[in-house]
Amino acid sequence: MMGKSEHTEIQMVAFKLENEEFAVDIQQVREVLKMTQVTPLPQSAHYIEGVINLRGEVIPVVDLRKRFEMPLGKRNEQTRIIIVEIKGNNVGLIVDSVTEVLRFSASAIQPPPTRIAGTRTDLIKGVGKLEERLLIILDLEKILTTDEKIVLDDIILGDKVQ
Amino acid sequence: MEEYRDLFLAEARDYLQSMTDHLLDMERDPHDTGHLTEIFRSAHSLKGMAGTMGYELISGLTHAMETLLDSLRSGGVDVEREMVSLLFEAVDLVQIMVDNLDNQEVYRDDVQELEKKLLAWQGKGKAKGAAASDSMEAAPPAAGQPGEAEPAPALDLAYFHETFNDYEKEMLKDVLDKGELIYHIHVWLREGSLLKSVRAYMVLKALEGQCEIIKTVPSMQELDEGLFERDFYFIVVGNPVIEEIRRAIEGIAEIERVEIAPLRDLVLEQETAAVDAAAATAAPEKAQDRPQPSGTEAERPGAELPAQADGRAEPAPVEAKKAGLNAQKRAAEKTVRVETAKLDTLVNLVGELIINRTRVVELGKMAGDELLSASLEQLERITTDLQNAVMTLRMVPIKQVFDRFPRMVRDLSIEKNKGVELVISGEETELDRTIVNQIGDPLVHLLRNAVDHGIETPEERQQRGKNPAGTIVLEAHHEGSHVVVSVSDDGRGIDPEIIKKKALEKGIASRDELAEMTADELIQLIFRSGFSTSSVVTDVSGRGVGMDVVKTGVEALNGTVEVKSEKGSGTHFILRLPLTLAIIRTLMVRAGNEIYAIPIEAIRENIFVEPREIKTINQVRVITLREEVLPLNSLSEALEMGSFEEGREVYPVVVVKAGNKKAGLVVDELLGQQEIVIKSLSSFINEIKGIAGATVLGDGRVTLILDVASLLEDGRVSIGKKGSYH
Amino acid sequence: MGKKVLITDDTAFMRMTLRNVLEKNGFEVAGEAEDGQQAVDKYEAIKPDLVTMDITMPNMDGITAIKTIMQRDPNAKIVVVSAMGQKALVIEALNSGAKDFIVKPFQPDRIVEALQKVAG
Repeated sequence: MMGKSEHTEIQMVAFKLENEEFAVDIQQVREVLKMTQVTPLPQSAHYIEGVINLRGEVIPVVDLRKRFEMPLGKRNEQTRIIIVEIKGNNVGLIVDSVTEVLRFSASAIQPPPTRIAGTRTDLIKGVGKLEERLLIILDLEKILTTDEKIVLDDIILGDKVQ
Repeated sequence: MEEYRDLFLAEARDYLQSMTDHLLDMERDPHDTGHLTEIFRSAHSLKGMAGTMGYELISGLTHAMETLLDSLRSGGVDVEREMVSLLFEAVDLVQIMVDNLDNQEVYRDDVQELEKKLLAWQGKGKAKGAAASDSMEAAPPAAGQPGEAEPAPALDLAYFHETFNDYEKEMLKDVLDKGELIYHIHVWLREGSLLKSVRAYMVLKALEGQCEIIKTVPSMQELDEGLFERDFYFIVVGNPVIEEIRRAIEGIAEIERVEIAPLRDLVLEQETAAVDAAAATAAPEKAQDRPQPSGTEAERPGAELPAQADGRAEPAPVEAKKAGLNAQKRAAEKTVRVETAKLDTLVNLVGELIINRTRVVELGKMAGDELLSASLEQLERITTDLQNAVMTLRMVPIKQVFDRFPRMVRDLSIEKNKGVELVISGEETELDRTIVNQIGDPLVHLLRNAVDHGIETPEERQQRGKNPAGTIVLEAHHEGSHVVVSVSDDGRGIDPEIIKKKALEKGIASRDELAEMTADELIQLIFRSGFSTSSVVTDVSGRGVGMDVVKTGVEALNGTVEVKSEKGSGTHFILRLPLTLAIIRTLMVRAGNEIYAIPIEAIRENIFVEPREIKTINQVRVITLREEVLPLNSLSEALEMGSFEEGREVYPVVVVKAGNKKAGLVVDELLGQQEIVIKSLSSFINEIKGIAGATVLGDGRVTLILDVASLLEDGRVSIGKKGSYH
Repeated sequence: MGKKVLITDDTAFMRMTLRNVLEKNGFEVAGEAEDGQQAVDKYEAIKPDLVTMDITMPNMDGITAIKTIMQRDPNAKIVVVSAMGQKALVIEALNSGAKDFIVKPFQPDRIVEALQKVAG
């Protein structure tokens, strides 16, 4: 993603958790669904909400708030499930809302800052800057395939970068 | 190329299996040279195919095998066990390379070493065999049949050998056996034609639907790149109307000339030559491989005739053999190879259809319309037939698994210095491909145990008045909607007393429990996990290695396994497997807010229990059902989705059983039976104890399918979650 | 009377060359089209026995034109007259229903032969 030339445009799906804005490469997104009925899975990681039926395929769904140890938000009309492909598997991500599809020129995306204390920059692919907005581009593969506990503060940058 | 590769894989495996079978037979009966001929044939075909595909290591190794086999045929070397083992080693190595086509290079050293060994063995008899093979080498390889139509001037045996490799020659023979014809179609373009590749493409297209193109000269790729002067030719098979083909090709612009000639006679001619050469135990690779220099007198049919008479040693048995082979091939030709993924999709779709049918039929019943009910009934019948028909597509004979056992038992019995005869029957019994793929390991375990520990040493057997060689019977047959596979030996059997002792030592059961058990119940203890460790094995007259592994494996397939044994006279394992896996009958139950599907196979009965019937023993809730004490737990609790709900008036209980464990599962509601399609949970999710998979119901909801065996296995049901007691 | 031919090519030079060759060899040139769209329209109007079709043309390319004409008249007999090095396009044209092809610059007898063969 970062290797493209300066002039390449990258499209990102932007979504929100609480007040933080995140983005995921549109290439990784299969589709975005409204919240639907989820069948809970016994004895799985606490952040796995359960499984859903996507046109006959049984797909696991992760609640990103729970993944980042955030307080549970209310599910409402804005709640979405983003279906992403990770290592050949479809996985659903429950997010507060999906805001828009953004176009970034490759130069507007910066690698994660490396010298910020207390930030798990290894879980971040980069930071997208769009005027005043800062969107964190998550490394979903890392976040979803490790069992480590990750808290929101680990990955957001807050005022730490300018 | 990919296509050829699949074909190569499929056929290579057939040849390897054939070599294994005939090697075993040859070892048993060294005087029947038919086996040797078959092994040679397979090695030879494999060599040719591998050569065509550019698999140099495989063709090299098979060539070395062929050389050794050849000295066997000429009587230079005798069949000995050690040599058969060496040939087996070679078969194994080829198999490994066939299975790892992309990494063949890794095995280069192994191949070279084995080649040396094979040739060294061949060298032992070289002096003896040399005379025979030398004299044969002089015999002309080909023979013609008099009175046949003259082939086109260029199309003679020299052309034939130059054009086709061994593999293709085999294929051409098959084509003729099928009653199809073979044509050589030669096309010349006009001088100065441009985009020649597209011209060739148009010619190919003109042939489409008329016949099948099996070879092009130059190669397809060269044609595609236009790498030819003005002419090219195709070998096609089928039953085309020649004049139509001619007209179609001549109707293309810039085509100067087309020549079409049948190849049937030429194929027959060379085939007779090759078979005769083989029959005379000459070196047939010389006859088939080496492209003959064109134009020498020896190749003209007339000149060959006297030589043919010399070379034809025993034509009759070879002809008979050939007829048998052709019959086999014809049987195989009635089949079509289909990608398994496509089959799975079909099975899945039919599964969904069945589910929706169930729903529609229910709705129809509610509507109470007679006409509708009648057509729904019809629909139900047809879909059931469709389901059965589709299911048979996935069925494969269990032979696929059984085939590897004769070799395995042979090796093991040599290793253990025991005489063992393996008798196989019912190998044509069919069952679901998935089950066939997974039943191998449990059977390996059972057979190993039978050889290792069941069958006594020859001395011991003699002392007991038994035949010094033991017998293991591997058998399969259908029984209703199940396939029963049994492994029986006439060995020493299992001694219940020793089981009792070991069970006590291992803490599997208490002294009191054991005292009450019948001999049969005691024997079943070998399936308990923890019973069989390697130290136990030798002590309990053999039985036990990984028996719990066998049980787990069989139960994972929704099957059951039981054992019967009589001390001194043998042991009998009976595996009962479902015919198919993809669709299962389940009981749908509600527990809390969730619905779960329990496979009917695992359910013994449904009962209703009142609170006063529930007792607590050692912190475990139990009920007594027909004098049997059953642990009881709520399904929610077992899945860690909730806790046991106290104070209800009556509890619906599903009595489940897996292996020899039985328990009652308290649910909130019994919702009725339903056929469901099993879908695997995403590989993204770790395996969940107690859950076998998921299914999508008619209304689109996902429902989890219980894995009763794993639910009962680690005591979830009997003990429940720690701390959940009041 | 000779077969009616519709010539399609975006260069006037090529149209003229084709017309000369065809008329000299007993064909009747019933119309000329400068692009695919015109070819489609004129095909409807003239109902020619044969069509020569260039591939790269403005407005509508030859392949689209072939597809459109074949859709309306599955019996249409179209011969592609392509420039050199258009292998993939020629194959696509053939797969779209063109009966044969000839490569520019062509020898007169070749186009005549191609049209005669296609006309049957």
